[in-house]
Amino acid sequence: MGIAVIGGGVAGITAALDLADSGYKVHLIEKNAELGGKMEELAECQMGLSPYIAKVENHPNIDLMLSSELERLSGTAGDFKLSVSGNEVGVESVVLAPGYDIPEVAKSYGFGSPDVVVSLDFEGILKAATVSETGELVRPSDGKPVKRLGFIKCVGSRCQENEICSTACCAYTAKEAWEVKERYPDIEIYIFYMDIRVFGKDEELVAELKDKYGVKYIRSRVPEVIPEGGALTVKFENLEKGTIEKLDLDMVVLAVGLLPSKTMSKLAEITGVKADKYGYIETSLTSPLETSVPGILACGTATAPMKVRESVAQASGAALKAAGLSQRTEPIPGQEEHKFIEIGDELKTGVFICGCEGEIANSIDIPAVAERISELKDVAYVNSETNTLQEAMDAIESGIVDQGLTRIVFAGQSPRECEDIVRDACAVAGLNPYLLELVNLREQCAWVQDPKDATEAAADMLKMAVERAKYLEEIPVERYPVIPKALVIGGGISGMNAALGIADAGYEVHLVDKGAELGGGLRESTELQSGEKAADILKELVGKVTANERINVYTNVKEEEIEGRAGSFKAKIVAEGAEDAEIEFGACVIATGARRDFVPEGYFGYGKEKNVTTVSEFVKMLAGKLDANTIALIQDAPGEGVTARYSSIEVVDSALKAKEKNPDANVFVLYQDIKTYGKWEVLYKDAREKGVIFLRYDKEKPPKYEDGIVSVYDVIFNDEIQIKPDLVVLSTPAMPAEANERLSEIFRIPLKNGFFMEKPERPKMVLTPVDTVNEGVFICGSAVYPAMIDECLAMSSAAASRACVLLAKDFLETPAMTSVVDEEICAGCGVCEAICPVEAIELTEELVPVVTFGVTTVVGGTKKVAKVGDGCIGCGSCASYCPSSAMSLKNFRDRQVYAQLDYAV
Amino acid sequence: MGEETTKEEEEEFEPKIVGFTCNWCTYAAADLAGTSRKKYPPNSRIIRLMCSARLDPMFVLKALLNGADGVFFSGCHPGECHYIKGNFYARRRIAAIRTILKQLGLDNRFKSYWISASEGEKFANTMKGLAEEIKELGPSPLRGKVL
Repeated sequence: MGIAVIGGGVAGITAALDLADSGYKVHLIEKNAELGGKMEELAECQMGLSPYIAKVENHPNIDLMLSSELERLSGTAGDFKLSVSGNEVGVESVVLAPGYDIPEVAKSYGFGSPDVVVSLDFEGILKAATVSETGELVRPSDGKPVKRLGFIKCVGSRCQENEICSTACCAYTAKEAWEVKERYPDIEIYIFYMDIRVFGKDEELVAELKDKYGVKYIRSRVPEVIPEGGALTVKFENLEKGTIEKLDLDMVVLAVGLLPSKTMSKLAEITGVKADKYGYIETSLTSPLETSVPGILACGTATAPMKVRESVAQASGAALKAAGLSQRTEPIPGQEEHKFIEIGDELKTGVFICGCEGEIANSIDIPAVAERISELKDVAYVNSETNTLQEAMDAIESGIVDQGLTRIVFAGQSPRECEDIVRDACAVAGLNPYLLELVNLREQCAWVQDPKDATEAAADMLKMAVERAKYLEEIPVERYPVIPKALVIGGGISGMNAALGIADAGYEVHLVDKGAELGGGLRESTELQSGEKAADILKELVGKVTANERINVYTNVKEEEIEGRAGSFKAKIVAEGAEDAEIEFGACVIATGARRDFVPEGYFGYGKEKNVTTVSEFVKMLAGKLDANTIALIQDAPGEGVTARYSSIEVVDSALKAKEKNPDANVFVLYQDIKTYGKWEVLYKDAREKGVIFLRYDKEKPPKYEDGIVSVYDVIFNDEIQIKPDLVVLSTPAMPAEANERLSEIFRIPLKNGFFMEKPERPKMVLTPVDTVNEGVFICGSAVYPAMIDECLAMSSAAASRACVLLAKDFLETPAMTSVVDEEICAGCGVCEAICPVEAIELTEELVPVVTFGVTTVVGGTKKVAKVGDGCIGCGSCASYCPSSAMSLKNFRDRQVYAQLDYAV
Repeated sequence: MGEETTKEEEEEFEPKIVGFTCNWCTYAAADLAGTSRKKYPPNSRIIRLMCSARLDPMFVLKALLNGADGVFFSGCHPGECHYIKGNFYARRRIAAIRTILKQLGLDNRFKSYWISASEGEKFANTMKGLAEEIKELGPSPLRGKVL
């Protein structure tokens, strides 16, 4: 059987790949004829997603069902029967990832005028501007260049028709504005907003837009856009002056919200999963991935509006949960051991030029290039007939097997997309995969140059590759066994959930925590926003962890001494009151959480005045008797650390609870931006309706607390307001765990503001939110960014999923492109040892034999020689620095680069 | 040989440029320029290195000796290296290469940039600017003479 994934957008693709890569059969069902969903419409995203799409299309464990729709579902978890566009499919579990749709736009926004567009269409216009002759951004109506561009946020969200916040719009608007400013610095940009709900990296981007790019952020809900006389007039309230103003713009982009997919109601009907009152699949704060039907999981924008980062984390997490109900039936690709043919000195180069379904063939005259290349002395065979990657791989395999080719040059799409697939094809056919040279004909030639130039350039690029191929050498492919165990660092809710996820998948887990008990930050909480008791949730989780035979818990851990690499780590766990434990593991999940113990000493008289407290203390007070009639909550109180994603939610929630507890109390919230993203917006609305008073202050004029009076300059009333509170509650920043610095050094994972950074695959988009630059180490929960419980649970399931993908493998290959030293030449100067960024090089003493008359007679003494160890990451620093050229980087040796240079000019 | 050069000069001079890029940032930016169809002149041939740390000064010299009219190098922004600090090493080496090239009067033919994976537009614009700049300089004095 297997698992059905419904929806071929970014979430569906992520879930399908995690499952297929760990040996499960996947049926990926997509209603459109192509994969990619909404992401395909965004330039940067399309680029980032395309390697994943290529992988899905070529994956042996994925049954890709395009232009297909789910028609019927029957059965129960472990035995579902699906009817998909007439085909019957049997699966054990189902992942729903149908994605989102955008709302209809109200006429009042001037929609109908060609110069008013929704954000997704604006991406298309930006793309079109790129390929147009002038490259300018022009108005769709009259083709005149755009000089003043406006973005209106919260269109179709936080409104009567859709009361929740769409979460993603603030960040994507910032990205679009950034792209416009980068490309057209002279265009003036105005962004109309209600609150700027961005966190972390996006927060920095917004600050940059305001300060560096001169983008004007105007806080006002725009009621209408009036198209008149060739301009678009935007009416808005100037809060500083309290007047209604007009602004003429050339073009307006509506940052429309995210609504549940139009297919959702039908899908809910077919599958029986419950939808919430907004039409999203119902999930809960403590089980964010489970639907109301056991065996059916949900992820991405089908559960709530969210960004790509959160969508893919949910998708990985849902994949793990779905896998738990299924059986592994398929081999894991790339695990077969290959025997390579002995090629000796024979040089027989085969060149394969792929047309890439016209993408290359349209601008490069492939037959002409093929003819010129076949005339080269060293070329034994040229194939220019293939049109898809699959055809090309078949041709390469038969070229190696039938014609005995000993070097392969493949020209097609970017190696960043196809390198693994092509190397694998060579290996399958029995040729050492490093006797392959790739030419980037699509991205770096066909798509960027005019046809005449492109053909010429293509021929040159191929000549360089053919020459380089001559000097390629076989690199032994060495494999080492993966230790099927994991280490989870941190015993909070994220760590425990990750440990359970990995253990349930069948692997042994070592769970370490610095505290005496499991539980982490949640132990400080009393009640969750959902009304559940934190203690109950902890009790259940801790019970499950301690009862699980596959989980070994270590508490009071002082430090971990760790060495090794993905698949094969060793650690010594040093704990107080226990003997040191030596453990081995293949993958590690970091879940160190965040600290909430920042003491706002001195701020607003905290520490001196008895009635000044913090939100975490206030939440505890709410559990008992609350005798305060006037309460002032101050959000974004200064301090070290970052603003947690839960910060506003916690403030609004506790304000609401105080009001509910004591309806006569005056509860004030002083804030800059209320960041109640997604469905939490309802909490904000509820609080306002119940009479909590929100006062917005400006960063430049922060509130003060003196002589028992809080004074704040409210930017909406445009006046100073004074409050005499019984209680002042400060919302303080969250701080990184102390262990982060140490773990960052051990695993070489960079930190940002003290929190772990994900693998930076694409700078403006996160597709692998729990992966790090260290292949065997995954991050989750508040160790990445202080987040709500549902997000921590989804992320930790995702980290467990990614760890399981690694642990499912029997073997990993040692990195091939590493440095080697020629000991004969090495003078032992030690430059390489000094500069190696990962300390993989060591100078050792070697005995030097003296050769007399051809026979080794005596040992003449010792000399120092550099030795490259296991940790080499292949950067090549040593090879470039070595003064005697004794050090080389495999696959990038001097003579291999020189060969390219000889034909580059 | 001499005749050929004159003939070439009579037509519009099209410089030959060799570029070294790191795999993770600038090579990816070049791919992004492609995906977004940002056209640029065909003068540059790109050699992919995994990290800017592999940029050996000899590569630059060899390219110039081979007759390249221009050579450029581009990697991740300092501090963003995939290999921790490879581009800091590269930066130091580039300074050294410049000193040598200055002696030979060739330093204006060697350029270095930092272009990250998201800067496809910047890559295309850099290629345009570079081609124009080298065109202004005219053919390399070493063209067709040394090797």
